[in-house]
Amino acid sequence: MNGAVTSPSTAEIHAGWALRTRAFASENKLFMAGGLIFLIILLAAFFAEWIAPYSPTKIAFAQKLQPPSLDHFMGTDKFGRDIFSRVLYGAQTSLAIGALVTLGAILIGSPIGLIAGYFGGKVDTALMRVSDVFLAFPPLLLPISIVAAMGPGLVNAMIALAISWFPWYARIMRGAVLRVRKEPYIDAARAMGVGPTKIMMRHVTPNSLTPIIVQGSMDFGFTILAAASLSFIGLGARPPTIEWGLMAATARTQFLEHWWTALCPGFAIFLTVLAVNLVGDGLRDVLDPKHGTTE
Amino acid sequence: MSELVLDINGLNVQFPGLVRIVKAVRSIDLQVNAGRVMGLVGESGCGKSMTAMACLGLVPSPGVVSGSVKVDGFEVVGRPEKELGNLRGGKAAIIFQNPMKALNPFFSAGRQMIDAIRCHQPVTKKEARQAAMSSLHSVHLPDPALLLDKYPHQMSGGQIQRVMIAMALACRPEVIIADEPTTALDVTVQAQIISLLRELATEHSRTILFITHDLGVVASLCDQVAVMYAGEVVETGAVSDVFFNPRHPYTEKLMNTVPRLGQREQTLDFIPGQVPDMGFPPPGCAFHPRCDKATEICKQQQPGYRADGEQHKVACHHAG
Amino acid sequence: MQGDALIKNPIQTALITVEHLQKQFSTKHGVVTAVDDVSFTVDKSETVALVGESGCGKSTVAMMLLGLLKSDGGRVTVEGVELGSSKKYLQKSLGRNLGIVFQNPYSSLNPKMRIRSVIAEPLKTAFSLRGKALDNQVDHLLGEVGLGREHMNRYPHEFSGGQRQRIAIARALALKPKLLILDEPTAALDVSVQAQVLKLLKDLQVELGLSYLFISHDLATVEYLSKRVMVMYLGRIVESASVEAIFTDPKHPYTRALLDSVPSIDPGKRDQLRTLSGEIPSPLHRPVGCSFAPRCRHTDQKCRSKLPELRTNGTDHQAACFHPLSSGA
Repeated sequence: MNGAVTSPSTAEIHAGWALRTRAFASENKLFMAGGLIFLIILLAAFFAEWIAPYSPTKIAFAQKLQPPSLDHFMGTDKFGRDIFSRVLYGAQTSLAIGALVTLGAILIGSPIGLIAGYFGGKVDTALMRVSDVFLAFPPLLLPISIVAAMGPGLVNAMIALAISWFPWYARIMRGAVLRVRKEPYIDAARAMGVGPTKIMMRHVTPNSLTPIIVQGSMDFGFTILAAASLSFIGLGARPPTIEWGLMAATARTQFLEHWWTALCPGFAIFLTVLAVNLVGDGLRDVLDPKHGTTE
Repeated sequence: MSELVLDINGLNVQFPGLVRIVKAVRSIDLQVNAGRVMGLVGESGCGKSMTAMACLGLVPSPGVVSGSVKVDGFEVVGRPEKELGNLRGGKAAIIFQNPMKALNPFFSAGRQMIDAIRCHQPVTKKEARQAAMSSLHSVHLPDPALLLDKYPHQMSGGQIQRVMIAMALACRPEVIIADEPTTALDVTVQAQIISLLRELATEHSRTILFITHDLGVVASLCDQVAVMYAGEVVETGAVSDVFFNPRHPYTEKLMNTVPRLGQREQTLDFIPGQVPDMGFPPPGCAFHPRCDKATEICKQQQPGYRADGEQHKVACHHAG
Repeated sequence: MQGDALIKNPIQTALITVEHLQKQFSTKHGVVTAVDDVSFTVDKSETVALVGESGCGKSTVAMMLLGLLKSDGGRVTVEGVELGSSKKYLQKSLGRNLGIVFQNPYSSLNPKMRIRSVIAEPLKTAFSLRGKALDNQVDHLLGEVGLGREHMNRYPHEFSGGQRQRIAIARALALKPKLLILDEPTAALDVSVQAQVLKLLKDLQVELGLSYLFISHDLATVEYLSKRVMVMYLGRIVESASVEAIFTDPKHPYTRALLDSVPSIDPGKRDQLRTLSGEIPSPLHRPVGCSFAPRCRHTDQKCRSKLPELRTNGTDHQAACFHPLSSGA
């Protein structure tokens, strides 16, 4: 046969991981920035017990409604509790919400989109019309209705949000599957006698994941926002749960004179959503197969 | 002595990255006189498309272009973007490979042609439409008036390619650059386009730079040919000289790897190995790892040109 | 019926017999006949080429042979056994006798699968191989196409077009097919790599006794690899003959036009390039009578009203034309 068969990117692999990381970092600045902020928030949530200067639940009326100072970095709320400590503990709740709700929506929506996209025809129509029903509701109205029916509480709010969110993933997955299904390697697998289940799991799904991952990372932020909104109107987390939206809601009455009580948890929400959005945006470029090729 | 319409000297196109710099085009010289058809032939990754892009200042970022490209005396390299608008479609026109993607699907062919014409000439819509129709006529498209109102999805690949040629002709360019215009077409349609381009070259004295990987098309259409490998021009000369008497080992081998019609029991040659990674081209002569005539000097020194007669030039230490 | 003469003694020598294959697609603009009454045979260790331009139906025929598309008429017999209507049977039996290599090496391999898994998949599906036996067989198949153990853990994007095509060939060979359908296997490759792959295919044919159904629009490659050639136009076979006869003595005007359209690499022969007028008609509006009539130089009233059938002049050479070209035309 022919001579040495060298793979085209051997040279690149030899360039060493340090250089490649630097190259990656300089090309994806927003991704790195968002990732860094998110990492800080994650660490803050993880190590809340060690970082928090005060107990988040200790009530001290003598210290109530103090503005931010060196003692209380974000001031105190109407019960005298240190807001900074509460924000740190609240990160745990919010990050959990983001992860669980998004994951839940993906796990419900993706299989629906996969089956609808792969089989097409009546199956597709049926599944998509059902998910369209969920999409027809104005934003937040559906989760509000579900929580109202189930009774308020954080867990119920999360379930309601996951149920309201899945149709987007069904759609995204279906779109990706429609594209992948036409690729020759799918024909090759069918010609070999590989059954539809294996084709869907082994060939279609891995190649359809990119848009799901990108959307999921951005939705992480939006679900936190949605949960905070639900808490704000009293349908989500309830005391003594520490959740940023709930903190802002409880501060409603003092907010005008004591801005820090609502603004600080609000800022935490803002920062998290921003970080996650940057990561999501950058993730699209990272995962895109055309990324990094210069022809 | 006809004038130089396309004068390329020391053209370099590089794509810098932190890990490596991809050198797509490495210091090439190319001259095309008026009324000639020059074929630029090579395999994928040889840099022929980038050369075409450089002629119109269309090298995508982060590409860095250095050297000189003069289109009818007008230096392209280093020109600011707003001065290049005049060049593109005006002095130099380009036809791309995939006809189905070349036209905007939202607008009719006529609309796009008229827009292109009015970009370069101060004419009214009516005059532009007339010019478009006469252009379509010169590419032998039937019913030009009807065609102007058609949308791209209503036309076949061959028709669109003719429309592209007509668009290119409409502003009377000094040079037409065709980047693999027939690769995506059926063989009978390809023959029609080749015939059309030949007519334009001979009867209307158009200058054409024709880029392709198909040696047969070059033989049928071009007067001169430049063979590119790994970003360099390795051999150049009149088509009959180069094809009947190839002097560079790559050209010679390439001719033997193409199956020819009408030869049963032929033995096909092949070139071992593959085209080098342009981020790390081999030292010395880029072809040496695959060449059976390579010696020590080939590994160390890049060969300069040797001329056999005035026109036939080869870049090889062991040119035949 | 057209094409009966093409079917030689089906029980004796033919590996695969295709009879009166038909395929229609209904689109919103009407019914499109993609394949119209196509019949042919392929013998053991024989290479038969299916030649034609876009829209002639050659790829559709391949899809139907593999069971990826359901035919609307006709039947296919492999080694005497008719491919049944039961879906399961169809897939399993086809998996053992027919393989396919697609045109685009960049999309015929799953980009997320390592090469080892790509080749292992058919072995697991059809032969239920596991563990060491599986590894050995993967290694063996890669060796057959000139690749080695070191390539097993890499991903497709780490290989060049020619190498990917070899991997596709190895994958097709995994099922030990008797017939390999090659759907324009070298069209997307560089010229110098093309030769490598063609040589590989030729060597494999000799070594393994494979038959090939070679689908292509590139006549020169067809000549290099094939024994018999069938020319298709708008869904029908218009000429069928041995490769020597087709290239030296074509009878159908379309075949002649195809040959004349190929630009020769010899600059001295450039004036021999002949252009065919017009374009392939849309399959939605097939001409009445001979579908080639609108572009043909030798038509008459009969051509425009009646559909010519494949007729033989006593030999193996058949053409569907009322006025076949005489020798030396």
